[in-house]
Amino acid sequence: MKKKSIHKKKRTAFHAKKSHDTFHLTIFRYAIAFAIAFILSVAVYPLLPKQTSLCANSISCKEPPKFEMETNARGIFNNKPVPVPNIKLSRNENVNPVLGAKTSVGVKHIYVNLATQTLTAYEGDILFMETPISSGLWGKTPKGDFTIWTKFRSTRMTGGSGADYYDLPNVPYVMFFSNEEVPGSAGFSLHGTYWHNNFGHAMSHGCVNMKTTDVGKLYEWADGPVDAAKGTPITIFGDQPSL
Amino acid sequence: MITVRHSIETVFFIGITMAVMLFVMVQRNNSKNQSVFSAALPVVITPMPTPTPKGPQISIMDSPEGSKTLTLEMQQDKDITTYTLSASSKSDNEKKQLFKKVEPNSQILSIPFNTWSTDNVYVFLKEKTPSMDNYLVFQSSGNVFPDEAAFVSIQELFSKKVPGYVIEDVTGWAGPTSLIVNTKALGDSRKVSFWFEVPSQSFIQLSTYFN
Repeated sequence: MKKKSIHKKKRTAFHAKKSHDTFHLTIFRYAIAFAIAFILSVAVYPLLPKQTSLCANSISCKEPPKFEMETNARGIFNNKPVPVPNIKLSRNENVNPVLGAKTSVGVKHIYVNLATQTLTAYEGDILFMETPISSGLWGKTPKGDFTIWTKFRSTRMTGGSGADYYDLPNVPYVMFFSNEEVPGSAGFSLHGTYWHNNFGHAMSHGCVNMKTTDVGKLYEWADGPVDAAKGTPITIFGDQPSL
Repeated sequence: MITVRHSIETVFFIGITMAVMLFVMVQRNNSKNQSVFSAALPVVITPMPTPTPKGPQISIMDSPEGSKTLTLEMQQDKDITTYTLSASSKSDNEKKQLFKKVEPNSQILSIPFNTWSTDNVYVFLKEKTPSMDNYLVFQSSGNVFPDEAAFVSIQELFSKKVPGYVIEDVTGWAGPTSLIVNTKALGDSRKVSFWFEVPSQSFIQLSTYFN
């Protein structure tokens, strides 16, 4: 009887030790697995597509951008109705640009400074324009060197969802820009803005919003691509300061 | 058999952990992108009046689509300045006076770059005083508000209706009737944006800070 009891105690102690060892082994195994997962995550993360490589307008980006104009349209911004101005085309706006048709005093270049929320446009050393803009608040404005990909006098931009939903017809003076990383079809552009007047402060879904009177002048001044020549270069730089 | 089970468990664990980590990283990156907003322009390109020895100084600002113009005339005389605010439409060229005020030279009225509401119904002015900045909203038609007042003083209304915060800046219009009011909480460093709804003269607290 006593022998049986001792044997039982030994067996219990053996099982307890085995269970203890298994527990430690499992913890060790999970720690190793966690470390592997961490290393793999850090390695894989930079390869993931970033928000800027998606598109500026989540709904209208699904189709290639095109000229669109609507009379007495209704717009929605932040899920609220906004009055939409009609587009008045002037006589010269349907004339196709001809390379070298305008007399130029230097190379044109547009700079967008996200830190100061300003746009400057130069022709050689001569300042053509300096004005406040609104860059991305709900989406990030891509930084880098771009060229104007195509220009439309007016188009429709749609995106967001829920309280953030927007449907904006007759967006005026749209200059889509692109580079090797951000295709033109991503929908990032400089354009006029009738749904807010808060320039100098971030207020867009990734585009560069401008006062309509300013962007109208820039649209006339800047060149889209003609034949093999690329459009006017745009450099977007600077960091929007944190709070 | 146990080894196979352990291997499956381990791979599964690594997969789940990676998914969670990547999700957290992407979320953190996105929230960082969204919370990093721009600062106010240090120098807004508001047309500044050119000082002239005689006659009034004039500051103007066109509406965003260019159909209307807001004009602020400033006539300085020793220690005081007389301000006259008027709005005109390019279609009829008729000038409507919205406001006239005599201020000591320590108080300066100016037209902000974003003065016009998106439908051109309202405009706002900035009034800089030694103690604080005030913001005045007018109807561009020259009509008075329902309480017969020529303008709404945002600072006065805000201090009455929203205790616990001080206005830091009024930046511009989020829509036809909503002005963006940036504030700071009293007693801590929290920054909160409000919409000032002009027709109802109410303040709506926002979850996003419009820096």
